[in-house]
Amino acid sequence: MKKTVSILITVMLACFCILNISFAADNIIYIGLDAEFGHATSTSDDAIKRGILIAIDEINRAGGVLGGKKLELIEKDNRSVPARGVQNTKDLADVKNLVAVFCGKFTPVVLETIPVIHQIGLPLLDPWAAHDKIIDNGYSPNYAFRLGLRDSWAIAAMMRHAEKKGAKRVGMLTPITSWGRGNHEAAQKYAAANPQITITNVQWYSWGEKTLIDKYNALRKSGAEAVILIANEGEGSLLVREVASLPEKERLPIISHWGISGGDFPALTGTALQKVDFSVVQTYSFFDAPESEKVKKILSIAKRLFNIKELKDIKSPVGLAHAYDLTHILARAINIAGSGDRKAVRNAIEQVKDYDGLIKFYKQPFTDARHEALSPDDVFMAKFRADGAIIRIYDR
Amino acid sequence: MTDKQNIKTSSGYFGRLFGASISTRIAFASVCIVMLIALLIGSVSHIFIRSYIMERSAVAMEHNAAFARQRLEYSLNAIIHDVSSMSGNLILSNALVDSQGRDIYILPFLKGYKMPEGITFALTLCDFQGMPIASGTKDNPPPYKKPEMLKQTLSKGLPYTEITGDPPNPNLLIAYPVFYGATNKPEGIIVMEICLKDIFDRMASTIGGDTRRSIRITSGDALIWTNGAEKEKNSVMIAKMPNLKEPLKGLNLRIELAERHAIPLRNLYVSFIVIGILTLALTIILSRAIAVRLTKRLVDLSEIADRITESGLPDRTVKVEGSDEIGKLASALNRMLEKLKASHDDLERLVGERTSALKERENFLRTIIETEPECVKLLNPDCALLTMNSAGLSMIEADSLEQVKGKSILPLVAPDYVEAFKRHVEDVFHGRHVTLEFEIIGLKGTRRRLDMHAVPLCNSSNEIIALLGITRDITHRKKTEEKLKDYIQEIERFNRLAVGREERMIELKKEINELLQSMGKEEKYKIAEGGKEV
Repeated sequence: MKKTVSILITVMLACFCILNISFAADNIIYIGLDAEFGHATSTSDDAIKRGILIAIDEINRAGGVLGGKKLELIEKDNRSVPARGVQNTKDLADVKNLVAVFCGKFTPVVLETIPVIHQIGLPLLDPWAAHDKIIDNGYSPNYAFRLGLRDSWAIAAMMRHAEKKGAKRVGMLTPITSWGRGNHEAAQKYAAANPQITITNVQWYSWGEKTLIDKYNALRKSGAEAVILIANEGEGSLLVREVASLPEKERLPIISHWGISGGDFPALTGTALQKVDFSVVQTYSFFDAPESEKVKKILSIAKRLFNIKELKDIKSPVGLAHAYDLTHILARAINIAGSGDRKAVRNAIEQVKDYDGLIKFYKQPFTDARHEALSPDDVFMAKFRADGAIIRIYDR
Repeated sequence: MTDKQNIKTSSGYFGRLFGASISTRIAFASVCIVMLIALLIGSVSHIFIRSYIMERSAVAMEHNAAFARQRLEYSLNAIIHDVSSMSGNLILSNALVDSQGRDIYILPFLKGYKMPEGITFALTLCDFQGMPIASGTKDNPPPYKKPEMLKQTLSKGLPYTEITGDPPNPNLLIAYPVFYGATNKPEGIIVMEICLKDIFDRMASTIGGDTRRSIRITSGDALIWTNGAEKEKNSVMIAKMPNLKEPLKGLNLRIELAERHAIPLRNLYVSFIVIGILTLALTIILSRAIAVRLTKRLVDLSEIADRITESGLPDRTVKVEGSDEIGKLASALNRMLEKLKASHDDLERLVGERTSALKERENFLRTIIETEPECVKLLNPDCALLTMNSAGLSMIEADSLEQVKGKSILPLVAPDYVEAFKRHVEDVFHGRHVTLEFEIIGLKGTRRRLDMHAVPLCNSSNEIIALLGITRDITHRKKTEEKLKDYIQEIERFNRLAVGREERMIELKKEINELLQSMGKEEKYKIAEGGKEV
């Protein structure tokens, strides 16, 4: 008798747990994040995650979406490997009530994901990956939305910066990846459209190279007066260290894509960073308006959630800022859509208007014809302060 | 005696088998001897050659096994080295984290890898799920999703090998994790699939892996390849491959070599048979030729002997050639011929002398017989007359010998004596000496009483060939004897009368002596023992 009673109680408890979990699941709107968490030196993944989580924290504290449903983040580690990214995206697509997925820094991963998200109809929110074709993917309707830098904008900013530095002959050091090829293509176009600047040489490298000095020297020997660097933090820091070890007169200005800010670049370069004329393209700096209410609010949430005490402690700040704004735009889109239906949400993203974000005020971040929330005007060159903070370089 | 009989039997057998040709026998003997020697030498050679072949085979197999092992170890280790090195190449890890457009460098890189000519392989870069990213050899490479492989390479970060496919077309699958520096973890695998048959075929071709040699390659207990030659149970040489690098070592590859001794030995046997046949033929030809050459002088000697047999002493001597046994035999024959000629001359002379003496003796005997007053005759067992002297012819009143020669004389015997005569003749032909008195009636009717003494006449072989009878005409004597008999009877009768009177006289004298004795007087007559008076 006792045994029968205990079995009945167990069954009832199990049913209660299942129902409770089901109810809880139905009350949550999930946001996916597939980023390179396993990448050893990347900090952009954490920055994106923190930006999303800060935004979710704000949204959930404000009542959530769809009349009270909480937003929740599900993260996947793609280790910067496209195949894992594709699988992660598929796995996330299987999650009930998951409305959209954020991607990480690595263009190849995102490019491989593009066909998948369109196949399954899952909105992709890109806060970092900069390849033009992520957005210009040819799919209609387009499920990819970016609030971030675009390679062609970055190249233009970098080239202009080189010109401003008096370098009319530049060499290009770029990875032998789709990201590198995209930038190379953009640089070629820019050079073709701007004959005052010449690309003297292009050096390709693989991820994980042990040295880049030979390629750097090849660029210098080609007559380059500045180096257009397309790199992430690993290869960028390697080049900086190697260039810093050269005599000062052999150190060419290095104008870098923002990939290097996807890691703790100051820590990776050490004192070498200050020995090199190094600049990096950015779209946002907390130090432009550090005392603004938005920044303070974000910092306070970041302090609460992640124990970040100062703005300079925010690594890869553009990732955080972009993800933050994108999450808020997504939340608005969900509400506009009135459900977690992915297609409806995708369509709603194009209808979000008048969002006063961290980076800027978005009259309409995305439209049917434009899936770039930022514009070339938002792009600027920055540099690392001695304390590691990334600050805007103001043109004289 | 027994040995002689055996020799005769053997000689007869060989004589029947090969005729009387001594050259054939010599040839046959030579062939037998040569073949016996060849058999002995061949057997010994066979033992040594077989031993040598086996030893050489074992050495060769050991060498080949070591060579094959080294070659396979080298080939497989080189492949492992290549794949291992390749897995560390940044191009691969770069391709793993790259996306669209990576074919422009990864395909040339993968296609740039070359294997030795003739070795089929597939080289594929796969993602973390074993899905192909790029292949240097296949347009549509298959996925490599084996859980063990993925676990070994991606979870443990260790290389993986496996034998796939079944004999005779096994493949070696080598998978190496491709580490990505940024994650310090394997993010993909480089998979090489090699057609082991190509490698094994090349290895086999370098060690003579045709059907003479059985080559088997096993992985653990599983046979993964064989050159198709039938497995030899004997002389199996097993070569493990201790120098294989990891992870090949885990495959526990072994080479089993087995020499097929049957072929070299069969060749050896064929050689022996061919050489044996050639030797036999050559031996027959040579021995026959040599034997004929050797026996030619014997034939000459034989011909001379034949001529001696047929026509007496030859008119020439044997030509003596060489100092060998036949030469000595020819010399001896010449000496024998000389001696024989001398003996022949002596014999001729002696025969002449004897013949002359015999003639004289014959004349003498003939004269005696012819002049003999008594009949001398020869009869055969049928009582036919063979010969008879003149006295005999007179007795039977024949005019000549031809008149009665060959005819039975029984018609001449008086009928009362025919049976006795025939019985006596038979007795003679049984070797007895007989005497017979009988009567004959001459051809001209004269009756005579004859006394015949007959004895057997033997030839040189002591065989009775005739009855020799000497017959005396006792007609007159018989008459005389009858008269004499009458006279003797008369005398005997007179004697008996005289002896009776004498005996009476002795008795009288005995009576007188007894009377005298009885009278006490001395005896008057001295009478000796037997009654005679002294």
